[in-house]
Amino acid sequence: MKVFMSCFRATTRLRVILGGVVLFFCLVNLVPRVVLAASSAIVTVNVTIVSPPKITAVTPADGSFFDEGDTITISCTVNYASSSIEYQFSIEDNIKQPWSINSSYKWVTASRDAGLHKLKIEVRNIAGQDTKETEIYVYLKPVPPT
Amino acid sequence: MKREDGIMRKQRFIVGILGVVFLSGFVLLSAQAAQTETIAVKVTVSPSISISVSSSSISLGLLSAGATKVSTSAITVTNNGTGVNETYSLSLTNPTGWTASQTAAGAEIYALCAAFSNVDTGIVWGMTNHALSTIPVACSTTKFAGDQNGVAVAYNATRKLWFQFKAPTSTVVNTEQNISVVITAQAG
Repeated sequence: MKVFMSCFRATTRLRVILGGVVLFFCLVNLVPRVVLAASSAIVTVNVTIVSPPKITAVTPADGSFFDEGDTITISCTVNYASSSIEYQFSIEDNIKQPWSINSSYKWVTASRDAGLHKLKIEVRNIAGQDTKETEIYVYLKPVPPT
Repeated sequence: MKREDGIMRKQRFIVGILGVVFLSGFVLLSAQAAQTETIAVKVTVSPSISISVSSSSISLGLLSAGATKVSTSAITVTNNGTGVNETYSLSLTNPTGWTASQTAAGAEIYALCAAFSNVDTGIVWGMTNHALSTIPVACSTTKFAGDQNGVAVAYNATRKLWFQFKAPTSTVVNTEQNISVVITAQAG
């Protein structure tokens, strides 16, 4: 009987101890923990890569004829449109319109301009430049007989 | 006579008892008045992680293929969380048609480097420690470091973030490209 009672007491004590341990772990796990979420910000880096411009067509076309007094619009077509492209126009190597974003130049001819003329069109951007030349002829208007 | 004496003794005894009870009550009351109580005030501090940037974009303008350019200004990054140090991680998102490299620029391949520094002049740019990738990389005393770094940035402290861009050596993309750089802050 004594042996039975001591076994019973020991078992009960063990259960109490185990119960306490289990309760302890449960309580520990129930303690709220602060988990900090990450925060982020975005910065956008903007960049444009430009290639050297290429002149694909010129106006007026090489070999064109005009009469004195005509207004000749000199322009060109570039392989891609971009506000970064600048243009320069020359006649016989005299710069008529220095580097600017204006893509054409108007030449009002006069009788003194009669003859053959070499027009030069240049384009550029930060990546490079291109040049094209074209020749035109300006005729004197025939003077009506008086 | 004896009986009266007995009654007197009993009365004295009762008065004595009452006196003791009264005095003990008084003593107890006095003792209670001197006692202090403790109130447990429980406060839960909940810090938060947050960062802010001085500008959401930075423009490098027009570049030719193969060119290298450092941003002309820095982005100011501020730890505006509450009460915790923050360590930053950096990553990027590729624009359509381009791929970021951590070694060198190439055809349709660019490199974007970043560094925390008060001024840009002292930054020793290197691909190993400064090149950004699509995978977030945590700052260290060498990673993305100039004369500043993104490690354990204190509350309200600021860092200046500079960028160096290495353009693709060739590209068919001639329109503006937008590269998103993500700055992530974590406690620590």
